[in-house]
Amino acid sequence: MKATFKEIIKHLRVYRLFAKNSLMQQLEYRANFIIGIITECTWLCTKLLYAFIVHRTDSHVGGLTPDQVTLFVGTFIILTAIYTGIFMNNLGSIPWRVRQGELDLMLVKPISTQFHLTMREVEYAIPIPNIIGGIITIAVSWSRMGLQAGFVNITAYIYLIISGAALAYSFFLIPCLLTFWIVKIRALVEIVYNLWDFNSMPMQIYGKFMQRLGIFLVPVFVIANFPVMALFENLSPLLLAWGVVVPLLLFFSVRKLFNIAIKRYSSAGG
Amino acid sequence: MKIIKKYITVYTLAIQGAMEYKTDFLISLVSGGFTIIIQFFLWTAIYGGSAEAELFGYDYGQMVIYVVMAGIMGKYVSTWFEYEIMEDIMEGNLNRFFVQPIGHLGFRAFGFFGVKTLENSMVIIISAILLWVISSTAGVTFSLINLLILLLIAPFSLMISFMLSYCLSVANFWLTWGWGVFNGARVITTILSGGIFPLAVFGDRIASALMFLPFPYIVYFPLNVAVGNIAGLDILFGVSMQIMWIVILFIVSQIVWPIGMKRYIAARG
Repeated sequence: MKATFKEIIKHLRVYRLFAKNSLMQQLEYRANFIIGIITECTWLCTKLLYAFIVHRTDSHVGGLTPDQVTLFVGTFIILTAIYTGIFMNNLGSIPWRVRQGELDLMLVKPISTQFHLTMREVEYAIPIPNIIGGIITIAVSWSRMGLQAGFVNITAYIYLIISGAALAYSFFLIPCLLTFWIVKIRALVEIVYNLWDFNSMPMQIYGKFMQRLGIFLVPVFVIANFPVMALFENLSPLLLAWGVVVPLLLFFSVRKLFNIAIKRYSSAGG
Repeated sequence: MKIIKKYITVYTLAIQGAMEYKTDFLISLVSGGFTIIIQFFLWTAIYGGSAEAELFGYDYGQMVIYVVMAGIMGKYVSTWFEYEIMEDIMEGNLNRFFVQPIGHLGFRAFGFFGVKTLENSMVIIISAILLWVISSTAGVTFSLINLLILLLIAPFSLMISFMLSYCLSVANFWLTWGWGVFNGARVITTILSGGIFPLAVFGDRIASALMFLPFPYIVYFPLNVAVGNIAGLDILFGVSMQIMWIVILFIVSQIVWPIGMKRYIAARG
């Protein structure tokens, strides 16, 4: 137990260094950093457009009021900030790193190779507008609704956002790991990555069949829908249990898969 | 005749090059298809949850056709060569245009339309399949004549998109790494051209003001023809506006490119 705790502290210290290095690296090219923020602002506008449309039509999409849909969009934006800030660049570069033989050095470092490979870069420019935009969107819709959420609901909301981000990490890591078996996986990765967009609107807009598919088979709806459903007390005990279990289940499965995959690494380009 | 022959060669080579990457393009169409699915379900839910039968001047069938075709149209008019020009400037590859008897605009245009000939043939086939699926499953009807007119005016949209990107590419002479600028410009162009939602959702005033810009003539105008919201002489007016913007952007490109070329230092050439 003590050894595990020590390992966690060590990895947290290393992660702080990763974060610091990434910041220094990105601030070296300040114009790019600012352009990155501006570009992301335009993407943020497209996400907010969906909420804007629902408000303009005053439509009750899937039984949700326009303000509830806006709160959902805000949550999706926050999750996008977490995903793009911590995971996206790292996962996207895995196929390239494997092909180039960059894992050689990582394998001999006294930290987890999976941690090193999937957490070494922190992106700052993309999350900044998303965090600001997401918080404002949530705050505005929350106050418009006059939502009186209890401590349990808010705790469940925050927990499910964190577990949703963890689920996204595992879910989007799977196609990247196929690079240890298949050389060209760009197309597959692109298709899977685009599944992220299914979180841009509440799952209630889809039919029952698609909802079940997106919850149990390809659990992409769990990422952004479950936190908001917990906040509105729309999450049944069964779904809440699934929301807690599936990120852990997928994380440990991906951990196993990573260990199998790494054995196939042959330092091709090194 | 010789002048035409060299550009035809560029065009043919571009088609051959595109054949190599046709799977990549088809896969990008599949992943882009997710947005279409989201839009389809979103608007079905919005119309289902609204008391009005018509929203922003579109009934349910028209809106579904619009948003589905907007996703397809986005692929039809998409450009990529601004990134190639960025590399050409960084690597000093523009040098060849000083000695080769071929103009840069002509080279880019014929190469672009060569690739697009193949890609857009696939886009048209997939659109036909998609429209058939929508009409048979969601009960949405559409006019074949309007779709034929769309097929005729879409090449003008493609030309506007090409000329816009070509003019924007000149920014590469001032920027070391214009990737972010092009991505931002792409999103803005998509929104302002009506590539995500019809411009009417922004309100009549904004939609009318935007009609003074080239963007709406890339997606919004042709798709409104497709859904039957623009008809008769208004189509002719719209096409005239398209041609006018192609000419204006061509003139702009002839002004800004020589200015940009003065900054070209053939860094690694």
